[in-house]
Amino acid sequence: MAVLKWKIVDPSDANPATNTYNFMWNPSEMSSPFPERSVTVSSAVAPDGQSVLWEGATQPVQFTFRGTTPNATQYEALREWVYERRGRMYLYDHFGRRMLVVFKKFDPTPGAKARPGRYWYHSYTVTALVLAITAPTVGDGGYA
Amino acid sequence: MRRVPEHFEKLWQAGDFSGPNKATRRVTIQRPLMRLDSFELMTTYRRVSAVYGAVPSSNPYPSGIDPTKGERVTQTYADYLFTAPGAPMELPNVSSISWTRSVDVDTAQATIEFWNNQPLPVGQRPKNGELDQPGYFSPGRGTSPFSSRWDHQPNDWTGLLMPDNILRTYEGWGSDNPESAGIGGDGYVPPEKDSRLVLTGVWIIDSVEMTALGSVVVTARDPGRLLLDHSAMIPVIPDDFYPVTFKDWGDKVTVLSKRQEDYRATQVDRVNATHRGSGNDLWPESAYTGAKVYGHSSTHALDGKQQTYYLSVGNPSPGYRSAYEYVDVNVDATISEVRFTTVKSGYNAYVSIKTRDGWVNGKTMPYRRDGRGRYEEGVPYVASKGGLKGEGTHTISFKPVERATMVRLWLGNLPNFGLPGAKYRAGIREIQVWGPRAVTRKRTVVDSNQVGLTPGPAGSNPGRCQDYTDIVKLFCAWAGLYWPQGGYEAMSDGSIRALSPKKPDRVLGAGVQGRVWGDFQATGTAPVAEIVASAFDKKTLMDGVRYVADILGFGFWFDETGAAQWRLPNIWGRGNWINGTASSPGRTNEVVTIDERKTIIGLSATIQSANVREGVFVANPVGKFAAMVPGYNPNPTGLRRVGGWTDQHFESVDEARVMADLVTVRQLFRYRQDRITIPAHPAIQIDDQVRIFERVTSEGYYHYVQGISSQNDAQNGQWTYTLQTHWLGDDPNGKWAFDKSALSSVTIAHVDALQGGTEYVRAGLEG
Repeated sequence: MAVLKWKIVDPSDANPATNTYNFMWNPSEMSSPFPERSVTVSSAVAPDGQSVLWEGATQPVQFTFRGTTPNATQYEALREWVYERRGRMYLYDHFGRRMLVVFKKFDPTPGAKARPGRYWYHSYTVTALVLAITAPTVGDGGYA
Repeated sequence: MRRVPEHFEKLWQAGDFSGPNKATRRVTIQRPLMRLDSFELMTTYRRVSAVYGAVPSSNPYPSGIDPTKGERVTQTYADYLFTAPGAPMELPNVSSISWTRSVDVDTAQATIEFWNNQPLPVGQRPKNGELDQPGYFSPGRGTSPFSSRWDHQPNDWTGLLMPDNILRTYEGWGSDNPESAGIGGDGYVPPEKDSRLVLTGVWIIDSVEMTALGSVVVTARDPGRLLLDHSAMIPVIPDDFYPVTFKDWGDKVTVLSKRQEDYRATQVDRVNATHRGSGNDLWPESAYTGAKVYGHSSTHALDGKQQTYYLSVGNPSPGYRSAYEYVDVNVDATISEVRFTTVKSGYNAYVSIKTRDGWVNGKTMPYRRDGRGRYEEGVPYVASKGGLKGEGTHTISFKPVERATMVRLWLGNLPNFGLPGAKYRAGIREIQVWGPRAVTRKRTVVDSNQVGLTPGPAGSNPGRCQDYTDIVKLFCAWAGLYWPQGGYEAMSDGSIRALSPKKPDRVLGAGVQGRVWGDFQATGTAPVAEIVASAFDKKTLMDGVRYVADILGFGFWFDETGAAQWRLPNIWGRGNWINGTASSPGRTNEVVTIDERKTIIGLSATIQSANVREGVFVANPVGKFAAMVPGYNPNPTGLRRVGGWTDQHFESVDEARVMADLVTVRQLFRYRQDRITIPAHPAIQIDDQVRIFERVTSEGYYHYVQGISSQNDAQNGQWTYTLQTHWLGDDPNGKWAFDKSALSSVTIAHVDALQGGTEYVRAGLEG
């Protein structure tokens, strides 16, 4: 069963040659992309008073994903996409969900032992705000 | 009390303001443009310049008013709300709305916070290192000489978020506007048409505080600001109505009118008098030694010539009682004067008159013969004059004698003529007899009439009104609350909703096709004594309204639709007033119950005796009209606090009693006050009554809502009302919440009389 590749698309870049970053390796971990509802509770003052539920504006979730970059090209490209392209980006995950994100941070950690040809091997964590997310396109059967 | 969509009450009771029912807040902004509508109106009277010192006949209207005909006046009303040239726009990024309104302050106040940043549409590349477009809503964006520094361009918001523009806040639970639509997108439902929201305020921006970090805090006040910003002077007050004064139509003015009339008068005319004789006739033997020898005859006294004269016989001494001489003349008329001229002076003259019935009664002549005289003694005389000076005409007047047949003119105190023989004589040049005659004459008569005026609309009759409420309406219409025929409400989706009065308000003037935006209760009374110009002149229009409100004990505030509310505070009977824009406005017995198990999320109750007085007296300064009533104190400890008030205007004991009663009621209200926090319920308005149940504070009374503070915060989703209330007394089961029997009958009658009707012309305009 094939796995859908992650990718980042810059909707402000109309050039098909440059508007997409394709992950060579999908991230190995990701946090939940779903925001937390801002629900608070007050109580009516009587001992048997009912609860009063309030819901505020849902805050964009701070989303992280972790993975590794195999080489300098992937490393530098990911860094550039996080820091140089400042607008809202579409992040597609392996479930086929399209997230509208704003990248906040690229946090690379060099690999403990650089292997030949993988001098720029890094593990990384990317932090982003998820502003919106679409439904997945991949079912239980995975990506065909 | 306000009618709101049904779901408000259900949600309020259920207490679940999450998911599709979470608190929502939306705001529109609009640039108004004050429109002035002028009308040529006709008064029912004409003002006449008073000319001081003018004789009445030259000024028939000394009161300064001609009640017989009117004059043209120009009236101008101002509209700030209904004919704005541009549609409102919905303001995005609103993070909170808070507002406070109270029956005790001139205007409600709102604070609206939002983020001054417009997200870039997906697909647009950020510029200048900015993620979105901070400062997008700043009013000067793109229009300043230095805008190019940041490549800022003008946008739809340029010049909009500025002081004096109008904000409208819409709040509720949930929204019809799909999140995907945003503002202006597909399926966009503007706040004006959002059935989940209600209008919670119309606000005029006071200040806009922008920070470099992208937040904006807007403070604004309700349209009461129009009455604070505008003063009672030109040009707000039309020329024909300045300076502003008011009085009722009950007085009368003086009108003077001239007319010719005949009247009976008496004129004194000369009557025909002919010679009859003189005292000389009794001295024929003296003719040669007497007067005649010198060429004089008594006929000379009646020949019309001053050169000739009658000369009497001589007397040896002027002191003799016989030394009186006379001339008789015949008459046949009513007579009242004898005029004569003499030779020499110093005489004493007497007039005796004879009618067919004999001598006319009077004092008796002092003449006596004393053996020397020959004249008749005891003759009465009707008038006399002594010590005649000079030889000019002497006049002796007397009460008219009718049908006189003879007049005898006596002279005594005779002078010395220096002639041979007896030297003391009388000399009379001419005698005329005059009598009264009735004549008819014409004269001009000035009639002074007190004429009543023909009452007319306050809006077309400067200085007059038929009800105190007329004054408030005029002040509002001058300030900018005129509601014209053809008025409309533009919505933020570009559509237009007609908002035109169903019928004009005649108070504004016959021919004026508009009203004042508000609900006005008639007071049923008007100022008998003139409210003089100094009460209003150059003060704010709000000062003027407060002046009138204080006279009557009325309340004045603005509702959520920006409409003026003028009525007696809702403390005199159980129930509430349904807001004027409801389909069926008016009085209702409904009262919102605020229950500790459902809707009270915070409550503090304070009882205090700061206003308690065991006795209250009210009197005029000299104590002629005075009343003393017991005050309210549920905890009598023997203190003897007495509060009082004296005022020169009290003119009866009843008036003083009414005022004392009203003071005690106010003291009662201040005794227990609550501060309650509840989930927001837009049905509750200031001046409402609510009933509160809370066990810890033993609260179960009816309360009067003095103030509401609303907080609607996007971050935590809480929309709460904090109500400032005072109880209405300790008798929640009575018709009146306080003990009505403690009031005098005159007080109850006074209160009932003030509760006039309200003309609900905005009915059905809600939503």
